[in-house]
Amino acid sequence: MTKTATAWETVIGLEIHAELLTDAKIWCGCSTQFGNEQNTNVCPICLGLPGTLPVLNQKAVEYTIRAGLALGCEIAAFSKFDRKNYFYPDLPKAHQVSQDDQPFCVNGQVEFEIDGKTYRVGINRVHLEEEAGKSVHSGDNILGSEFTLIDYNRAGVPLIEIVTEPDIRSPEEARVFLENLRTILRYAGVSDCKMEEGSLRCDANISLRPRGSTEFGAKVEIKNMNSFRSVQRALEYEMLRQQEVLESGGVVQRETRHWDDAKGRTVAMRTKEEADDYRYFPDPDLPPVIVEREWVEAIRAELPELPQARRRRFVEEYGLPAYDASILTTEKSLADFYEATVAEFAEPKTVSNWIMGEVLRLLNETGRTPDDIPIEPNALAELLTLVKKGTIGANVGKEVLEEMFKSGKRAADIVKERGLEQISDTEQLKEIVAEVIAENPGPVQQYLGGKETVIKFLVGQVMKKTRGQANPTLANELLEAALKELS
Amino acid sequence: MSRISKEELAQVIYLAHIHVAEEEQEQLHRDLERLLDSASKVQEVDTTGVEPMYRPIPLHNVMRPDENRPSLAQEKVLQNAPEVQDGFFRVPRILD
Amino acid sequence: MKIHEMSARELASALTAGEVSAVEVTQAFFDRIDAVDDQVGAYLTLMRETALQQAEEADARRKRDDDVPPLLGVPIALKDNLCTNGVRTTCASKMLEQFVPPYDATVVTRLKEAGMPILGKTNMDEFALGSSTEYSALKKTRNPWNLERVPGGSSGGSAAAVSASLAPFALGTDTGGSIRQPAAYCGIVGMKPTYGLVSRFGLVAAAPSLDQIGTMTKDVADTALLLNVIAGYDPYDSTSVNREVPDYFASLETDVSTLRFGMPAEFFSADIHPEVRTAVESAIKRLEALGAEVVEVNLPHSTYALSAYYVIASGELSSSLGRYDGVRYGHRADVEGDVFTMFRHSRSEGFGPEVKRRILLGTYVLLSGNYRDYYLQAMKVRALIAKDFEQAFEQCDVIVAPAAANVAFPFDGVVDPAEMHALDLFTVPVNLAGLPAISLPCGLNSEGMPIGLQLIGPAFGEVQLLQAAYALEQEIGPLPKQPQLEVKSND
Repeated sequence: MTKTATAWETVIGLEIHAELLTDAKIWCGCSTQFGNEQNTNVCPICLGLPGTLPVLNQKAVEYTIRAGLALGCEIAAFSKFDRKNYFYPDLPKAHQVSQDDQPFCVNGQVEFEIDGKTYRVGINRVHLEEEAGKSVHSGDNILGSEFTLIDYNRAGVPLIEIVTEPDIRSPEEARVFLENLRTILRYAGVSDCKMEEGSLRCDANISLRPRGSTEFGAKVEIKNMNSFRSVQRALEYEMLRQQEVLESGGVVQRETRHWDDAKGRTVAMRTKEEADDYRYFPDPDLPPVIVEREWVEAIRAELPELPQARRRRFVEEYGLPAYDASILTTEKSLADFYEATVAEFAEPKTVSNWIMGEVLRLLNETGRTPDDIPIEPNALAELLTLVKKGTIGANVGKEVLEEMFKSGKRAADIVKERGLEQISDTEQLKEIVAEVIAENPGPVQQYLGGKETVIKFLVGQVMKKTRGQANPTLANELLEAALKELS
Repeated sequence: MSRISKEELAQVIYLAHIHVAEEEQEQLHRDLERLLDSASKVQEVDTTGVEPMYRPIPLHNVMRPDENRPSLAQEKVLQNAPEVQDGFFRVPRILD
Repeated sequence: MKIHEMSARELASALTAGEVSAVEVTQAFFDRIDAVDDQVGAYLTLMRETALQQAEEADARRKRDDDVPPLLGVPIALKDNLCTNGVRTTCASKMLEQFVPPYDATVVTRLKEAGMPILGKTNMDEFALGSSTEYSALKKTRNPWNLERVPGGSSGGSAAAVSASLAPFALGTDTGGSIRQPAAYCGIVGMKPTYGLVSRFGLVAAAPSLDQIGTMTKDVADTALLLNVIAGYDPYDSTSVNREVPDYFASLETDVSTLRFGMPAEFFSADIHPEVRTAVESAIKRLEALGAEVVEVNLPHSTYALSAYYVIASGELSSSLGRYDGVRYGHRADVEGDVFTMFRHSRSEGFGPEVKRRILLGTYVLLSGNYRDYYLQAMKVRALIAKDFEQAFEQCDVIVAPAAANVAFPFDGVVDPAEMHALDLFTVPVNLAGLPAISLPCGLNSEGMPIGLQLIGPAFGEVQLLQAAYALEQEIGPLPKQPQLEVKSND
């Protein structure tokens, strides 16, 4: 950081859009499935054909309230839908049905930690609206393209917009907040939050102000950040850009800038000659929603334990280090897998080590997510039991796990089929020990001369001869005994 | 008295996305003034404490279950489109 | 009596008795259309083939089934803002001249289920904005009573079709009087039901909080029969009301002497043509003669109804008509430049001048800086108007008023758009309050033009409203004559 960096305080607020995991769209029965052929999940309603009318999907409301509860929001007793009017080719009705002044959820907060320090970001509101279609630009991007192709498959997918308070003070905080938000929404089961598929999107408002000031500087809106990393990078770039402008005596323009990930910079977007005016008004086609307390409580009852609480419980109940707890709880499915395994194999730290080490490595290598771990928790517990009993060694255990991932077979079957049991037969090992001593006179002499660490080499030779199946503890004992006889 | 300035007229034309030829603007301006004369009569009413009535029959919580229904065949989706390409709606470039 | 001169009820009886077939009836109307519609210009699109096919199916169904719907085989005409699967639905706009919906409006589905052949789509003011059908971008419709006069609007094509016996009855839509006023101008019965009684799904929106589909018929009995078909809850319209629908036809007869009629002082002190006033007042005297009580009621905020209507209807319209951008359907301008340039020119070319004026007015009243003073204020005035009606209905069962201040006017008779809107003086407050109302003929003026009277009921008070209308119709009797059109010979 430059010396002057401390002279400015960065103020960041985020606007996050998350698509909800309903089966049907918000106003019609079309599928919300991602990746289908263009313009096939479309009907007269989501295409905005003349004469069509919207009917609200109840689950979209419930997921919005669920998201609000997971983010610690108050749930409004009365909520309504408004039309936000603007023209864009991906917007079938030239208005987006959204919520202007009476959103479902307000006043929440998210707490998270960076390096042991706790941060809190206020949630201003969570509201429900409809997704637009998707534009495919000819050429490389929107600039300089000759024409655009529109696919309305996404049009009408329910979408929540989450607006934070301007409580974030650094680009890193912004990224970590967003990661935590993603975890919470995934726990709540309301969105799959895939930034690469666009089901989670983030725009940021960033401004700088002299440290100690309570006024806000002119804010710049950053769009087109397509990954958690790019959110941090874009904000870092923009923070330095604004700092340079301010320090050279300039004025930061209130504007919208586009993040160019390849070039690693933000670019001003063309400003329109007149200010947009969305002409919000209550949608006459959609009656308001009254949210009774019982309904809220029923939705609250469906909420699972949220990541922060679970993290704390993992530390308290299983005695895990904070680091382990935070890794294991980033995904609900991983945490569920962990707990189910511990229920069958009651060594929490051992299970944690295997999951954080081997299971995550194998998931990564096979391009899977914790949602589709190919083995059952009790299968992992069985494997760990075999290791614990000494039927197989830890290293063989790792190979067995890999095979379990590939074939889905049980650990015991793999060990049996491939003859991987440790050699714990004293007589059989005694013969091999004798061979090793005979074949390695030099090291034997060194050992007898007092250099006792050489025994490790000799154990290694035993392991080599048995292709790793010798019980190393037993091999060590037998070697020591045989060498003692020689001295 | 003018209710709508030239700038406001320009903004309204811009937002409504309707091209109005230069020579038509004056007549349009006059028409809108007259319509606004009538529209602005609502402002003479004392509505202190009156709740707005956005819809004639008060309903609430009109919702449907989260169930899929068949979509249209792609050819039906596109049948009225002025320009299509490869199953997409095609439009001129978005930015100049 | 010729087939085309019969009412729907008479046709239904003849069909039930086996005196005629649905195919014969449907063909008779197409013959009539071929004979006189070039003078009237009621239809934009004829559905000859499908209508005759539907008629054949109706005949087969009657042969096959013991229990058939009452209007099986009775054909109907539809205003061209009601979507018909596979048949163009234009809203009388260049914008939608080629638009073919891939779905049926709910009312269309109901008509089809009732076995009613659809004759065709009728002309209207573009996007239902207007009171004379002169704003149709596609065709001129004339009043069958006097071809030099307008049929009224916006449902002018449906009104003219029924009046000229080009259909036994028709559906129209009413946003500010668009069924009742043309019905009055054409000497037929027009009814706008309570908001939410008939599904709007498939009705191309003008102003969604005001629009309602209704009936245009030769008499009140036909209104009741047709309302029986189209009324009822629809899960595809969130503003549709889920309540039991009575049999309006079965409950038509009543003793009017038990009813109290209210005359709004504000309506009768308005500028009403003396002949219209006389006709309406003499109808009221007939009610009194039948023993009904007639009281004066007040609708003090009704003088602001037109103003509130302008603001609300235009505001909603500006948003509802945003979708016509030349991307998914509708007119696209052939113009160089980016997509927004294409939008601007497509909308400029596709919409007529009145539609554009109203979109611009609506855009203005919704601007964030104007919203409070115009749109929100209008919604509050609307609440006051609705409350006026509520209070009036504490003193009476049915409100009686003129349907329009005068009879149908000559073409180009009204040039000022603001004055044109003033024609809806007695009808607009009803839409703002969402109430049911019916207009029925109550005489001819000295020029031989029909005069319309309007009855207004409380929300979902259709049964009583139709009873009152039916009794009054019986008392007034049929108009002394019907429109005389020259029938072309086929030789």
